[in-house]
Formats: sequence, structure tokens, C-alpha cells
Amino acid sequence: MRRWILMALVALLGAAAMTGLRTHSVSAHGETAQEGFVRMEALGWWDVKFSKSDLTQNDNMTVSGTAKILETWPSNMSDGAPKICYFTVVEPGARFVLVDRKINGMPAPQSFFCSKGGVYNFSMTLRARDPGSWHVHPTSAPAPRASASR
Amino acid sequence: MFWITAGFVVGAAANITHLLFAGDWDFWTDWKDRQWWMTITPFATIIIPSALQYIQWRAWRFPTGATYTAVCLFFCTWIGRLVQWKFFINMPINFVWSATWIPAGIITDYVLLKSRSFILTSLIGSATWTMAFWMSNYIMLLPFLQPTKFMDHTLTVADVQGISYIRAQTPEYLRVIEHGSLRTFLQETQYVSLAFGTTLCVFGYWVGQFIGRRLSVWPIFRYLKQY
Repeated sequence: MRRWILMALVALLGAAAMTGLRTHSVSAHGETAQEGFVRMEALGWWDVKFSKSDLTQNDNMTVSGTAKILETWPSNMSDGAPKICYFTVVEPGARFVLVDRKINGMPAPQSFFCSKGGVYNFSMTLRARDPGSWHVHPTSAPAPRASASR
Repeated sequence: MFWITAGFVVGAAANITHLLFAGDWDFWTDWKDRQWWMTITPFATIIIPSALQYIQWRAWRFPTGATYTAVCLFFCTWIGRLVQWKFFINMPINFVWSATWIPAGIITDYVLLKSRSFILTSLIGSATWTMAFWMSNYIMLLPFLQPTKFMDHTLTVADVQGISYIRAQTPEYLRVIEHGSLRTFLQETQYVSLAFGTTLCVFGYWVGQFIGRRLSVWPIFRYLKQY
């Protein structure tokens, strides 16, 4: 009997720990853990602007700016020259809903063709979905290999 | 009581096998495609039901192994979807719902009941498993395949979900789905995939039979005596 009570207590403790693990706020998600060549030689970002930082649910926020695929793009990534790029935001779960994305003024729901040295103006409109304080910023995910095209 | 307790083990085994071989295609509505999802998933998910069919049929003449595994898989998968996808990162359930195998399990068990042969079940049952998997899940998938206009593009509702609910660092080119070559067969991708999926499923069934015969609990005494 004592064993069963002990097991039930352990299970309850486990469940409580799981509940406590739910993410309510994330201040970063491993940006500085990336290798130096990824952070310094792949993409240059400037004029990144957030239209708002405080929103109520269903409010829209636009993240805009410019990114350049640098000439120093590392040779060990995307065969040394990315061909397909994808601009999105990173966020801890589906806290925002993407309602619009434009690359160089054109609607871009998915990825687009890109090249080394290319400069891309991006604009992403996000709708607030989940209450909380969230760490959100733009990011890019070039195809790992040139052959990864559809 | 034994089968209720064993349900967690069986469900976990089936879920792990599914996730290892075909997990990606089942995670999101926009990755549930007509080529890879229905080709790989029946193969991946017949393995444990086949082993359970062997155990329950040989031990008790119960033609229930596939249904039992499908029900266990149903509960285990949904615990994962609700806790991991909904509770932790708040993905909407109608984007991350799991496929079901229960109708496929019932029909495959019926094949074993009537044929009383593992060989015939592997041939006919694999076909019914694949077909029933597709038909039962297509009903749920169909609403998400309706076309809609989004960002000046014509996309499916499933695509819109995949774009709107942001999967960080998961661009759409990561999914290996629906390459165009199969469309040459009268543009009916799914029938070619179903035929291929059935063939793979026969192989998967015998992988499961091997597990059932060699590694399962029931014949362990015979196995121990032998060695």
C-alpha cells in the first residue's frame, strides 16, 4: 500500500513539474548558441522595425526591415550560395498568426528564389493570438542545399 | 486488467514506430499529402498491429490485435498532441490532429478472422489496412484541401494553416511531398501511392510478424527453452 501511495506521489510530482514547464515568457531561444560564422558572415540585417510592442488579442503588428545575403556567406552552408530563401519570425509556439508577408513588395506566402549579395526588403504582419510576453524577431532559413528545391 | 496495462506499452511502441518512419507527414494538415503520407504511414503503422495480431490470435484466438493496437495508438497519440502541441505551444488542434487507424484495424482483424491465415492477412489485410487508412482519414482531411485565396495566391486551407501558424525554421521546402512525376498516371496520384503503400505494407506486416514471433512476451518461454 505504501508503495502505491509513493508511486502516486511521484506521478503527481511529475505532473506538477510538467505543468510548471509550460512556457509563459521566453527571453531568447538560443541565438547566441549559433556558430560565429552563422551569426557574422551569413546575413546582414538593418532597419528592423516593430510597429508595436504592446498589443491586445487580434491586434496586428508589422515587422519590417532589410536583409542582405552577404558576400561572405560561408562555403559550408547551402553549398556556398543559397538559392532558396525563407523569411519568417521565430516565436515560442504559435503565439502570433502570420497574416501577410511581402518580400521586395511582392506577396510571399512561402519561400522565394534568392542569391548571394541579394538585398531583400521584408514586411511581415502578425496578429496577436496568445496573451503573454513573447520574444519575437525576424529570421531567415535558406535551403540547406541548392538541390533542395521543389 | 493485463490488456489495459499493456495498452500503454503497445500504444507507445506503435507511436514510436510511427514517429520514426512517418511522423513528419502526420504532424500538420498541410503535410498530410497524397503521396508520402499514405505510402509511408500504413507501412510504419502495420508493424506493431501485426505483432499484436500474432500474439492475440495464437494465444487466445482473438482477432483483435490490430484494433487493440489502433485504439492504444489513438490514446497515446492524442495525449501527445494535447500535451505537446496544444498545451505547451498552443497550436490549434485542427492543424495538428492525428490520423486514425481504428477503422483500418477493425477491417484487418476481420480479414484475419475470416481467413484464419497470417499469409492471407498479410496480402489482403495489408491492402485493406492501407485503403481503410486513406479513406477514413480522407474524410477528416478533405475540408482542409479546399482552395482559398491567401496573400494573392491560390492555396489550400491546409497551406494557409501551415503559413499562418508559424513553425519557426520550418519552411515549406523541408517537406518532401507530392513531387510531380506521379501525376503522369492520369493525374491520380493517390491511387498509385495506395498501390505502392499496399506493397510496402505487406513487407511491414512481416516485420511485425517477426517481432511477434521472436520478441513478444507470449512465446518467450519457448524462446528461452530453445536457447
